[in-house]
Parts: sequence; structure tokens; C-alpha cells
Amino acid sequence: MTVIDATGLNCPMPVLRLQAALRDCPAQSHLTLHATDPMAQIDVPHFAGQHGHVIVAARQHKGAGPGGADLYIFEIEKAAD
Amino acid sequence: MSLAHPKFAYTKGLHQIGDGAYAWLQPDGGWGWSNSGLIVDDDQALVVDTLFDVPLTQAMLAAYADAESAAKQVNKVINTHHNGDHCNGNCCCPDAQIIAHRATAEHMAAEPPALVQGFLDAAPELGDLGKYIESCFGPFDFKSVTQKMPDTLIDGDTTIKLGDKDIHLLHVGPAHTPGDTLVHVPADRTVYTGDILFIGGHPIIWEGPVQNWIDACDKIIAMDVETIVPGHGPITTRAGVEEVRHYLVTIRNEARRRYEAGMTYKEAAFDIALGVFDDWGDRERIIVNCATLFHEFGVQERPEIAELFAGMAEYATARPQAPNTAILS
Repeated sequence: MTVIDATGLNCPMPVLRLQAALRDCPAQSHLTLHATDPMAQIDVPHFAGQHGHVIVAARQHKGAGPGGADLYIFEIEKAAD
Repeated sequence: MSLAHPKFAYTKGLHQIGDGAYAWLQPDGGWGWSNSGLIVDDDQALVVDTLFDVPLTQAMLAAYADAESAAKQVNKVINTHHNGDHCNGNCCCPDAQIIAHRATAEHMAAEPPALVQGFLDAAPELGDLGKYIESCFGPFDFKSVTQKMPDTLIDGDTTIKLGDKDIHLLHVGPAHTPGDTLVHVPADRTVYTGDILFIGGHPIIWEGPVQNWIDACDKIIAMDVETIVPGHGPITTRAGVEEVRHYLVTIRNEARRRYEAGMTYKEAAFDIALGVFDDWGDRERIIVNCATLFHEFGVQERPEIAELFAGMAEYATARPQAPNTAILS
């Protein structure tokens, strides 16, 4: 599964990285996004909803990101064509 | 200047407009505190917009049923647009036909109640942004909502019958949102506008183009109506519509000047003096309005939702506002 590492990047960069990665993969494929900006919890689900992608899972791991930051992991299924 | 209709106090609850015509108002009309309507003829009842959560909608439906026995069983619901404060309570009308513009249904699916609940769940980690989100959405119970989608979609202007009353559904979006629909009832000389009208509060231009919104105001102004029920704020008259139109034209012109001067949308929002609109509620919405207008003027990328809410939080913190009294004076 493709993993997009957006740790250390502030919003909206995680969504922009996700958007670029989705562009290059087939419909209904699964991607994982790692982010440390808490605002990703707002942007990523909203972006997914607007474009018909599905958040399969969203998890938070306390202190598991670089430098002890909280790590947010989103599993995303790209929209059907 | 008060923009409230002189015949109707701006108080929470039920207001009878005419024979089989009602409004349900929720002061102060800020984030999530939306209005609804009830139209009755013979044994038929139609509700214009449900509310943001189940308890609020149930209380409203109980008052509707007390006022009109036909409303004990709501036959039809019209959602004027997809924002949750106008449709989350659809699930309280399990047997009703739910009518909306196709774009409204599409955007309801993209913005389920769980999305806003997710914003609230994340709020404690988001500092000032989180506090702002809690101030906007914290009073509501999204966990009570089961999203009930429209089952009858319209693609343009449509007239439906309720008993002997004609109900004109006029699609005027995209403006506030893509599906914006006016509900005009000629027999009651009433129009329910959804969020094409915020009275005493700043309109929020989520979608645009703003010209569609200005045209929608002109359409309302040209109607032969006595009573205008906005999506937020007090029942109003033509003067209230003209003020919203004035706001839209003014903000568009002020934003355009700053776009041409090379400012960012956020710089423009902070730079615009709100003048006669300064005492309207939720003035931080100027952030979203400038972002949408700058996109209309030629800026390709629209900010993501977190950036917009963070910008509004920053504006609200920098320019704190007293409770909204403009609409009560």
C-alpha cells in the first residue's frame, strides 16, 4: 500500500500531498497518509468527502511522530470512477 | 436600523405568518441557529428545513403539531440547501417525502453530520481554532443525527402542490451553496429563503459566484410578498433583502480593489472596514467571503477548510465582538 509521509508539514500540505498521490493511482486503490499537524483531522476528512474518497480508518498515536509529535494516520480509498 | 419585520418579534419559537403559514425562529441566528417554516393546507403539512440536531427538531415539530393537527404527520420536507443546520433533523420526519435540489443531495452526502462531529472531537488539540469550532458547533448534538437524504430531487425551478397551495421551488444557486433554493408560497404572500438571507448576521459565501446571490436578492425583491423568512435572523421585509444585497455588492467591490492591489485574501479580509455592517454578527465570515471572491477573481486554489476556520478564529480573536444586538434593536 502506498504510504504518504506528510509528517512535519503544516496544513494544507498533507492534503496537497494526498491529492497528488491520488491523481496517480487507480480508482478504489488504498493509500495511507501520515501527518503530525492536528489540523489534518479537519482537512483530510473534509477533502475526502468533497471528492468522494472514503476514509477507511483514522487513528491517532500519541507521541509516535518525529520529535515525539502525535501521529495521525489516515487510510483512504480513492473514489470509484 | 432594524431589519426585522415590524409585525413579528424576534423570539425563539413559533410565529404564525398567515392561514396555514408559520416560521420557527432561533435567535440569535448565529452559527447553527437556523430558521424553519411550516406550510399547511387541508390535511397536508410541509416543513421548510429541519434543524441542526434531533432534540431541536423534535421540539420544533411538537410545536408545529400543537399549532396544526395536519402537522402531526409531516407529508413533505424541503431542504433549501445542504448545510446541516437545514437538514440534519430530516430523520425526525421518517415518513415524509424529502425534496431538494440535486446539488443539495450531492453535497449532503459529502458533508455528513459525522464530519462536523469529527471537527469537535479534534477541537481540544487545536488551540484557538479548536475553541472557535467549539463556540460554533459545541451547543449541538450531532451524535443524535441519522442522516436522512432527499428522496425527490429537482434540477431546476419546480412547482409542487400542497392541498390547493402552489409551492414554487426556485433554484438560485450556486451562491451560498450549490443547491440554494427559495420556497415561494404565493397564496401566503411568503417566501422562505434559506441561507440566501442572513438578517443581522454576516452572510457566508461558501460557494459563489456572488452575482448569483445578488440576482437571488433581486428575485426576492421583485416578488409580491409580505413576509420574508430568512435562513437566519428575524423575519424581514424587502428592506432586509436590500441590505443583504448591499452587503454583497460592497464586499465584492472592496475585495476586488484589494485583489487588484496584490493583497492576499486574508490581508484583504483584515483590511476591509465593515462600516455599516460592523455590528452584524459573525463578522469573521469576511475571511471566507474574501477567499471565495478571490477565487472568483482568478486565484486558482481555494483554501482548505481548516485554513478558513483558522482564519476566522484569528479574526474573531483579534476583533472580539459583543453579543449580537444589531438584530434586536
